[in-house]
Amino acid sequence: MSPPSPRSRCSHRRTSTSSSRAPSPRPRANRSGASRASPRGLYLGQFDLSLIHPHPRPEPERREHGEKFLAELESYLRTVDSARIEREARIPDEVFQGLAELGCFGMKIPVEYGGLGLGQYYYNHALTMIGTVNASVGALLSAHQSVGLPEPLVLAGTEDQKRQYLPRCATGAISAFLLTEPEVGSDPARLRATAVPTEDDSEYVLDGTKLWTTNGVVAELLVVMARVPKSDGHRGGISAFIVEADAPGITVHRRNAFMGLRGIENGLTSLRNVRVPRENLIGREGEGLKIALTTLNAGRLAIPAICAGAGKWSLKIAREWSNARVQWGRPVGEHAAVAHKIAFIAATTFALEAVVDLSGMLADEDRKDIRIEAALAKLWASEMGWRIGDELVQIRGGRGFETAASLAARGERAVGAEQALRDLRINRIFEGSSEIMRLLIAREAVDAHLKAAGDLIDPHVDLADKLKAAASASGFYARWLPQLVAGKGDLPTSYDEFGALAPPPALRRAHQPQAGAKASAYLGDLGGLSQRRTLQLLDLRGTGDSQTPMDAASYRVDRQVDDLEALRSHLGLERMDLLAHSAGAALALLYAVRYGDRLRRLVLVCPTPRDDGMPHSKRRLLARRASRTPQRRPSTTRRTRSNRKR
Amino acid sequence: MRSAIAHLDVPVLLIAGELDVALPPRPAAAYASLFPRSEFAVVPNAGHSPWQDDPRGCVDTIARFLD
Ligand SMILES: Cc1cc2nc3c(=O)[nH]c(=O)nc-3n(C[C@H](O)[C@H](O)[C@H](O)COP(=O)(O)OP(=O)(O)OC[C@H]3O[C@@H](n4cnc5c(N)ncnc54)[C@H](O)[C@@H]3O)c2cc1C
Repeated sequence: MSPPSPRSRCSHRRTSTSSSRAPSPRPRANRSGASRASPRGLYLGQFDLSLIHPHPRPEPERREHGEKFLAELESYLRTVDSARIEREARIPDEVFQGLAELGCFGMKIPVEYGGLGLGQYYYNHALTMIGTVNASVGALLSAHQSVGLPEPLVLAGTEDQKRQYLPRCATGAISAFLLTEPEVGSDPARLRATAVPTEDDSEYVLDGTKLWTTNGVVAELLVVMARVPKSDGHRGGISAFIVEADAPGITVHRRNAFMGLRGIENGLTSLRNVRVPRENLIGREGEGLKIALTTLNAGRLAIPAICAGAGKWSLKIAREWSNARVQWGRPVGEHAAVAHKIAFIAATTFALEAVVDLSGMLADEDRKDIRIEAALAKLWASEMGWRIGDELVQIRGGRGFETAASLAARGERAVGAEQALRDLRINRIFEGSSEIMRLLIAREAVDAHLKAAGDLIDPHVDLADKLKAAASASGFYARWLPQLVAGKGDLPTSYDEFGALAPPPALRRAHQPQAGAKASAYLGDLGGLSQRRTLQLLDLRGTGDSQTPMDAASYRVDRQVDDLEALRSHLGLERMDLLAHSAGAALALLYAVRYGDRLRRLVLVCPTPRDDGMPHSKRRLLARRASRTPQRRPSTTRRTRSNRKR
Repeated sequence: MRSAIAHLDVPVLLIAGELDVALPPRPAAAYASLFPRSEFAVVPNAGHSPWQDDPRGCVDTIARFLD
């Protein structure tokens, strides 16, 4: 461990006993070798079940360690005065110190570098917990660990850099990430800060202005993104540097103030002739943006974690208030509109936590590139977090709009719903705005195809390579297309390990005890029938409680016909038998008309085909029935209307 | 659709439920007759889900047709 730095805000160093109880972390696998992540698979019509089954779980020793830490953190957080942070618009020194004592600045840093080695899953949990207390504290810790120095160092740093800086970071040398500039936000590739190598190549000289540096005002270490000009021996490009915050030439011009997150130490920082040793380059020249983006892959998960915390807190307040507040003779929670809001907050919080947990564990397993998961989670969580905050304000009514301090001054419970809303707003903007997340997600959706066909399109690739590319692209499409039209789920034995599929509602009803004997006889025979392998059961769902509306059946029917045909050829059946029930008949008939020569036999059970296939006799029957039924409704209406006229 | 069905050279089995209000036996029989090669069966005392009301009879009918 390096000696305590004089600039550290936290004098306390974590004792070595606390680090010895930590398990040794697993080695990090090579990220570039990671296989395709689930949303990418989904774009291609594949559902990669292995991502959630078996559901990833933390290893036992990791779990014990993590749970113990969370318990300590929870009891510490009870002593944190969130109202004071809001009132004074700063996080008090003793909170910095308390967090450092617990090891909070090194939650994700591996144990051998003095951190807690918690991994993303427990780190997320810690942030969620902190998110229920104060969002500024969450931002302090996540700006330090999710985007600050530790993450890029763990990802791309040399062993020397890790040994030198990670222990400092772990014990409270706060770091900040300096990418944004007054002129560049969402499009960082145009950043202007420069890093010019000195003649002897021993140093870089940094110049530029960096805006909105979270933690920048109090940081001891900075990650600065700057452009190295291309020259002899220098490939140049945007590069990442480790910079000591007290280096000559660095000035924090002001501390910025915001709508929310009032406690963060966010600055406007300028660098003038700042000399940085060559060894402080992270990765290679030109890799800065890649490092920044890779950092953000897992880094972005901090936001969903904090949003999940805000959701939990909101749910608690919503429940308590909607029970306590009585209007129109009832607790407001019993009025349907308010009940809906509570249900929305509860369900969304549950989902937020599930997303955070799953993505955290996937990140820890390190077997997948999780950038799309992280982008999806960041986009959705930040949008939902904001809506939860908004609904909470609404549930609290006028008190939702009133500050906690003002409520307290009137003798009411100090609930800062408006603060929660203000604190949540930034999540839709920083670490990639919602608009940018959508672009990224959508681009990935088409990227699979571009990648497969990429070399075919690239004019600089020579013919031999093009042929190779063509071969591999056709392989790709040969595998991809059938999966798209006839996914794994269409194959009879695909999910055998899950046991029998839940029967469709009609069968489920038949399965009830009173119909027990009948049902098993039927199911048994049905099983026998389906083992012929030539029989496809269609739309048994069309019966019973969850009746498939005809419209729904018919609007999808056109595609389904082709899917069905693809399935037939996929199963290698020359001709197939079809059995269709109820609305499923529409599909079967359309198939019969279009692909009659591939149909061997057709069984229609109580068919209710679409209008165009409906026999006239049935229409007549319906018409007759309609004319026979006394038209009570219309006549009542008529009478009422005429009464009113009178 | 109707004319297309009239030329369908595929054996069709249409099963109706005696008490099915969605497609009662008479229109069901008419419907079955639209197909050039059709068999028609009514499951007595059965509604819109005949295999529930008479599992054995219903499945036997289907099995006989398919064998
Ligand atoms: C409280 C706070 C803390 C921050 N902390 C840090 C930090 O620690 N380090 C750091 O480097 N930066 C930090 N930032 C900067 C933050 O990441 C940027 O604000 C963010 O990247 C957006 O950039 P911008 O504000 O310049 O918006 P702009 O890029 O100017 O965008 C303005 C609007 O246009 C939209 N837009 C831009 N491009 C497109 C497009 N192609 N398609 C559709 N819409 C588009 C954006 O979504 C946005 O709505 C922080 C900012 C704040 C407010």
